[in-house]
Amino acid sequence: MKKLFSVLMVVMISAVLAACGSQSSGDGSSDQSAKANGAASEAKIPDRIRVVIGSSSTGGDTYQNSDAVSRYLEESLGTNMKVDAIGAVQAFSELDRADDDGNTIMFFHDMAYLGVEYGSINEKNALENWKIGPVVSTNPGNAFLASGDAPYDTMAESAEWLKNNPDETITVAIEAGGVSEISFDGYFLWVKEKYGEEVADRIKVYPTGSQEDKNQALWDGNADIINGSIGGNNEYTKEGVESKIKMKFLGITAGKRVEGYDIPTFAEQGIEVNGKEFVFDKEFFFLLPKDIDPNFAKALDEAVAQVVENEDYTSDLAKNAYIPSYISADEAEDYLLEKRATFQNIIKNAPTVDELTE
Amino acid sequence: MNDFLTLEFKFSESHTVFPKIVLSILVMLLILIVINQVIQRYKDGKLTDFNFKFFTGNYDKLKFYGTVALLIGYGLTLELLGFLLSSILFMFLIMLLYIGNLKRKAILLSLANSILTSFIIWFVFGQMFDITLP
Amino acid sequence: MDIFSILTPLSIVLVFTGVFMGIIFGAIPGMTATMAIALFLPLTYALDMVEAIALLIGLYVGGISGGLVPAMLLNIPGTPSSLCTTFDGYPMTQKGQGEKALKIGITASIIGGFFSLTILYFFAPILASIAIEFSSVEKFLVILFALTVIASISKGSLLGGVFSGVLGVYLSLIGMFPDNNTLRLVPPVLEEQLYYGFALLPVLIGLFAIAQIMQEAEEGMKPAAHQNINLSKNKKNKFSLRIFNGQIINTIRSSVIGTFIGMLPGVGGSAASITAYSQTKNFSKNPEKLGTGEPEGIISSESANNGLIGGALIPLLSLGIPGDSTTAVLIGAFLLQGIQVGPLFITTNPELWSGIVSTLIIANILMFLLMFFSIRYMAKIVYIPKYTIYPIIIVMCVVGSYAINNGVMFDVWTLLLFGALGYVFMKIGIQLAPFLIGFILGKQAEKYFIDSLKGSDGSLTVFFTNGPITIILWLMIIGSIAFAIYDNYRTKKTAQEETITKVS
Repeated sequence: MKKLFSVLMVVMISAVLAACGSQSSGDGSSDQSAKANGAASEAKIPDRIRVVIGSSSTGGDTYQNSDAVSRYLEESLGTNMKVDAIGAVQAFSELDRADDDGNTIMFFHDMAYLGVEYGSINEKNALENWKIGPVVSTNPGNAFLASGDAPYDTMAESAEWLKNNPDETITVAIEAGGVSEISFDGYFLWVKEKYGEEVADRIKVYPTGSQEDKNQALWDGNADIINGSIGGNNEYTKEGVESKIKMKFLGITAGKRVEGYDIPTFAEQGIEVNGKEFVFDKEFFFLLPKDIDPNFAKALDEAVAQVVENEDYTSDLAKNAYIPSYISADEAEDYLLEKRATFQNIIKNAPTVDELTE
Repeated sequence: MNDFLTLEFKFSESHTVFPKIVLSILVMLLILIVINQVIQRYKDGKLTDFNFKFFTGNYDKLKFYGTVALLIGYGLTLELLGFLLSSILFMFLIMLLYIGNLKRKAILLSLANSILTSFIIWFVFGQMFDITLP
Repeated sequence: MDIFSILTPLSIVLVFTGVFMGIIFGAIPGMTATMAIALFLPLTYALDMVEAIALLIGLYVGGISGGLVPAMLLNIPGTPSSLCTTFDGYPMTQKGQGEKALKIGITASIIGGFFSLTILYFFAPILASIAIEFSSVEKFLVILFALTVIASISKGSLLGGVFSGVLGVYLSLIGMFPDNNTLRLVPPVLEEQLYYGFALLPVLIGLFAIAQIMQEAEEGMKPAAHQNINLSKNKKNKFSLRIFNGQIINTIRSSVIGTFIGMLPGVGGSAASITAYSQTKNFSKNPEKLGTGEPEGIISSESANNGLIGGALIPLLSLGIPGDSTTAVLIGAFLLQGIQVGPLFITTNPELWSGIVSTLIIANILMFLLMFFSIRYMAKIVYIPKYTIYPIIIVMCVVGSYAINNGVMFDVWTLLLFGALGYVFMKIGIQLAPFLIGFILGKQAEKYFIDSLKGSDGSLTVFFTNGPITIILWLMIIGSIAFAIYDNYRTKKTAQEETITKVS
């Protein structure tokens, strides 16, 4: 038996060594491309770049988008990138302490500034205090769902239904302080504008945490509509799912429909705030330390521009219905600040969760 | 009655509800424990008999305070010197402390163990598995 | 069997690698199954789905099982779910029965693993729809039920034990409340560091490993008695399957509890072995012996522990809801491959489904073989002089704490702080195990408590009126507490009688 064990050990060790071997040969080739690249942009790329992300989950869309882009960036930058899911607060604090050579950078989405506006992220982490890197990709799947047998099929119909049934209320499960709340605010303000206080007052909020919690809230009957996403909830909307857990999409907040899914956008349904279509695209972008080496920032920007052209990258993202959407670092700053201003306005006019849960 | 069984709170206050309940239970338990102790002591007739000693008699001051100091020092140097250097230093010193003498064998043993262990951890976890080390 | 047909030789090598690495990660204090899976996640990108799953399931099974090694030999739980394994495992080591304890542990592990696997294979869809019937009210009561273990494992003073447990709950609440993102119980200087509160793993190994090392330093690092016991030639210390005679009900009950708690989404895995242990104690013929090195305790903790794996996969595979933090990482692996897990997963991916089941079978067997034949060498860890092993443990704990949240220095300070706290706790009579159980379950208790009240508009009656399951759960809670009080009273009485007979 001892012999068998040692044989197995050998297999194991050789497997590890083989893996290392292939890895190091891979490193070798990328070293060369690094030199080639380095000569071109004259940037000194650190040997190892730590990408901290604003989510602590390795199952969420932030991780998937950062993982995909860094896998391709590694090659074009000729370095080794490691995605560390440490959560927003820790990620910002790591970024704050990071060196200016780019060995620690952050990857996050609109929550970065929405959190500041809603007060769930400290003000000192406002966009102004970082160097904004390129926008990389979009998750167009931010959606609202209801139980399969709900008497309405879209968000717009739900408001109409509420108007026609003065004794009813609708409770929406959202996660306070971020993407989920801003999407709800858009819907709420539109209902208030179009149908008046009386109808809007009958919309309540059930604040809760993760996607699983929101699903459970729907199944428990604690919520009638939940915020969710195409990636996370599509499985429950399919033909053949038990009616007890069956869901249906009521709309997505993205500007364009997502290919392959028959879900109307908020804009199509006529949902407007202040006379403008309500559109919210959840975009992912890099944040760099304020005093980052400009050569590094430029190299990263160029590399991202290259990656988004890569078809393999696009098809990787498409697996989970994400799409590449590159905005160069120069334009990204104005773009995001403007986007923020739009939503600041909505947040200012929207009621607080306290008022919505009374 | 219904009022007693209702616990209303605002969303923005919801983070204080449970801690308050737990704290009240904690205080109640503490009071119970004190009362219990007093009764027990009163029964045994040694109400004012306090002979609580924190450290065991004749405790090893050098090893104890040495451990505490080295642990704190290790924490402080981790980010300053990096994982490899500070770990080697820490392991070497704490091993010497625990062996308790400065004979050649002790020094060699500590040196070997500290360098070997730190290096293996650094290589396997830091390099092979690409874990972010201090 | 044709369910194995989907496995390629490569995937079998990968299960083996997974189990092997998993055991190592589980056995190192401070590294967990979840961490191992998260680490290997990016590597799976290059593999196809069945191979990726083979590797990850191997890691899962190995990681959960490996935790018993340091728990038994060093009194340090390698993972939070092996906490209860220390209660009887370490005392057995102290009696020189370390090897026997380990063998009992892995035998219980594989039984628990196969039990839950059978349940998963045959009943997954039905059980999953029962699991979602558990709303926040029932989940709160399940946690409360798990918390009753505090009463039954209190040593000496029942009040003191309960106090320690509630203190643990209180400290677990430090940090941000996720609902409204508001901080509480945090000193202003540490707002950033304590945003997510104290991380569980550094607290766990701090209280156990560091505190213990400090205590031994105080006593001068003398070799422990069991380090001098010669390799056990004693018949009594030999492992044989006969130990499991009379433990059949215990094994089944613990596996059921493990599977069931694993199945409930959002009720953490550590609750499984904790609940199983307390029920074993309540039903035991001689409850006073538990905690002094009884195989009964190890069997209960370890079979529940591995029962959890199959359980946690039930809602994951039949509903797309992760049953614990480890399966949450597994979802990430599916998504990387572009596979959505949801209610139709089993019917639309029959190949993958049988791949998962056959991988689990192989992983459990490999885990058993690997552990069984290396135990003889592992058990020798206890003979390594303290001056060599303790520094290694400290450095491992530091690395694990730093890495558990992917590189946060504050977690190292948490480790050291709770090491010191644990040392002080032992001195002033605060009991570590109840404290830790409170700490592990505290946040979940709060979440489901508040969620229930949000759903009922603040009415507390919801905890009694929410259907038949709540009534059953209350009966179980009351029964468990009553039993603990009775047991405590009885132990005290026997102790008194003994002193009386001695005096007379």
